Amino acid sequence: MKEQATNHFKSTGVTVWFTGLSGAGKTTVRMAVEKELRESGYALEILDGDVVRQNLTKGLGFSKEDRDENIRRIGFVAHLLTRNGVIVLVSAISPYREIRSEVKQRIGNFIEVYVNAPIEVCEQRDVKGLYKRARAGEIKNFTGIDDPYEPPENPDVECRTDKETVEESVAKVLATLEASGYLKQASKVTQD
Amino acid sequence: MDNIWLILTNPYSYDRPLERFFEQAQSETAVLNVAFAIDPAAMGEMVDDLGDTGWLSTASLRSLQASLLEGYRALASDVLEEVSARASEAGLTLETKVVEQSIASYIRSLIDLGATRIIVGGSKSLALSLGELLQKIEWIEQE
Repeated sequence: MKEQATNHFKSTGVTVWFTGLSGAGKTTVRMAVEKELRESGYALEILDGDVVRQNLTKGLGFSKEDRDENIRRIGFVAHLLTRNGVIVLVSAISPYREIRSEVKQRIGNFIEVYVNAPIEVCEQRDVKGLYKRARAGEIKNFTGIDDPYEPPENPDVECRTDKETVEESVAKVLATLEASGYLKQASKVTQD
Repeated sequence: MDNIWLILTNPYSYDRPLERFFEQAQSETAVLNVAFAIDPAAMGEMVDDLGDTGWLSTASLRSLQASLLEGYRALASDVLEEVSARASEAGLTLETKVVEQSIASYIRSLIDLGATRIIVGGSKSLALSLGELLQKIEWIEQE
């Protein structure tokens, strides 16, 4: 018996997965998308792991295997919420292509947003001082410095945050969500 | 008549235990039951873990947990629907259900009810948590 593919499962919400380097603007774009969707009354949940030193689940380290397992867990949570009709906004560096692809296949209703800025720009922004610490050797296995980032080959949306405004990025994400049809199925918050 | 149970615990990976269950089902006259087990305590731990590690800074943990559980019930039902369809193709009729309790206590309850064979599919870490109960079931590792 062949191991089954799992994207046949029904999903009624959608997971919007923001991937990109630290400092590329994932959280900024995600927050702006969140604001628009909340104002439209959609049920949302946020999973944001952009604080690099906190973003691994307890017991996991920074090897590729540990990072993959962490993304798998986050993907599982996103899947359950999506299956319950929720729009899930995930912001995670998620540097490895294969595990992103696995999560996408499992969830089904999935939009991959590549938040893209050159590493020089991310390093110049360095709002959390993490690149400086990574360059100084204080942080090991830092994505983009001494750990690879594998860009999506065919993202649903690419936001070039070094070349476009936040509003332009948000408009692209929302247009893709609209065109996908997922918003029609997603739950709205009921008010008593 | 024998009473055979299959307990599934992973919505992404259950082909091997299902294959074994079908083998048994076709070689015996038996009542066939399939359960998908959700452990609410494990779900709670997962949510706490995400909160502790900074993934849920603005979320309400309680409402998130309720939403996760609702989603898991739906996903488990999807799995059982798929399993029933495969059983039907193989000429088998199943009783299916989603249960919400720890795997160990569920296995004990089935033994008390007189289950003649229990096949469980799950991860290595789950097997380790079952201790002596492993002697009373057929465990099929499925990560």
